[in-house]
Amino acid sequence: MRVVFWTEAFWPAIGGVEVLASRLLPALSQRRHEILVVTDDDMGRLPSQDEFRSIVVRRPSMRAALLSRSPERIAAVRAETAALMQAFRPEIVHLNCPGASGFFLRRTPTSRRVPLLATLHSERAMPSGGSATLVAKLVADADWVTAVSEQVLAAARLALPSIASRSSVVYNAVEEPAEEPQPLPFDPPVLLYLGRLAPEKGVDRALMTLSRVASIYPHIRLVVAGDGPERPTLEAQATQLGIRDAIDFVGWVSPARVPALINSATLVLMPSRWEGLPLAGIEAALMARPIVGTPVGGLAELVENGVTGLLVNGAPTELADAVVSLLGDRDRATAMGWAARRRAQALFGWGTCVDSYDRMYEKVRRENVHGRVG
Amino acid sequence: MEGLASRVRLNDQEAVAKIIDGEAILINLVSGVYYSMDGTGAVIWSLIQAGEPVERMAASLAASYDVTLEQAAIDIEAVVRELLEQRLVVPDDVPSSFPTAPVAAGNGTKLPYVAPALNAYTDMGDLLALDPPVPGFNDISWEK
Repeated sequence: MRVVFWTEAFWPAIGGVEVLASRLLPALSQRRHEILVVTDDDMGRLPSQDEFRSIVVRRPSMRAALLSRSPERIAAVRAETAALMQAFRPEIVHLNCPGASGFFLRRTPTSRRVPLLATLHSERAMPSGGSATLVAKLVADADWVTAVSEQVLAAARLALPSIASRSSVVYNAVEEPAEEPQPLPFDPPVLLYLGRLAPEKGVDRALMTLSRVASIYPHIRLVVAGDGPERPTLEAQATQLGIRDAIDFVGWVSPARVPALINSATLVLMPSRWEGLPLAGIEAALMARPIVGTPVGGLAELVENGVTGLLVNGAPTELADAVVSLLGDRDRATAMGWAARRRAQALFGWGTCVDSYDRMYEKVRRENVHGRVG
Repeated sequence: MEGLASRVRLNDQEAVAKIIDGEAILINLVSGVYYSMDGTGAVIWSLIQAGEPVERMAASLAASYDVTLEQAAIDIEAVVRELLEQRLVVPDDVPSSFPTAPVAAGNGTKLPYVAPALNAYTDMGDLLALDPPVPGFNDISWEK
């Protein structure tokens, strides 16, 4: 099947959404799907034509055109996206993480209406502006909507009740790493945060948690892996809290190195304010690490509270208490890690994820709910 | 059309607009909100651009689309009011020097009518303000 995978960002952009796509698309292309990735050129920083593991990638300057507010530039990009679609003749479009570039998908004239699958990655995916928003219109256009967790689906259905009968969950997943989980290190304990450094991820909470736990475990370390707009603020916060020397800001880590990084941690902190279903959490579980986090988005589905990790509200005192309780009971922490691994293997299996999208493509093409064929 | 200006024109101090492939794309440069009008909406925008008086637009639409003059007038008034509210157009009482013709319907058959609508994308500013998730990509050895 010819599939246009339309996404706000793709390799070499890094983040859970991008890493998942970079693994999913090669897997789907091995199942008779011919895939064209349409994504943005990040203000001209990425080449307009590229290839990722034999998958063709095209990057029109969509964001730049929209930011220019120039109708002429918008018209030019629209012509470019229309030409891409007409040349490729997709049988379905998979809109991954609807965003600003969807303006061109919605406005791209084709000789026929192409069935549309939309995938939502965050419980905040649907904006508050109701139907007068681009994202709501894109999702309303979709023949089927998938969400990466039950919580994300519930939030989307609440915002747009009309999708209730044509939406479902396809859990994010991670292929089980070749590395075997190593014993949890306790001397000294190492906390790990892995992900974007953005306000919704609550890394500031992780720092405040560390400052409290460090009074009991003075040699404890926190590894902050990832980058983003909050990094300068977080580094300043660490200095202000007097814990800068206990934190390693290691920046982005290659996806291939993530299992080894997790293996070096005692537990993983995920104190998010809102979430989708974080790949880092699934990876942590597969490496038999307990998670201490907040019950938001898919985290509440990923972590069985008290069994595979501890979910508390985002207050640093509660997070710190949870961390201290696990560091003080090594057997319990270890048992939780292995329970997390078993749960991840059962619920977030890679094969299930690929099968689900494969079947979804067939379903969307076959049913073409909106039946818009011109 | 009580209270409605006889003509409106693009509010070129605050907005830009262009018809692209039969669809009007409008952007309020002050609010950052994007809009589109397709089908009969794009026809109305082209009539606005041509300086057509609002009260004559209904006749243009009714001549080409399967709609009564009265219904067309009601729908046009609604969409023009919305354009005014969104500051995409302003009243303009300078007569156009360009005569306009009804929309061509081909062989005399009237086109199916869908009421004109102004589609707003109020989240565009927020979406464009999001940080693209690319920081540091040049420094990472992604296995390809």
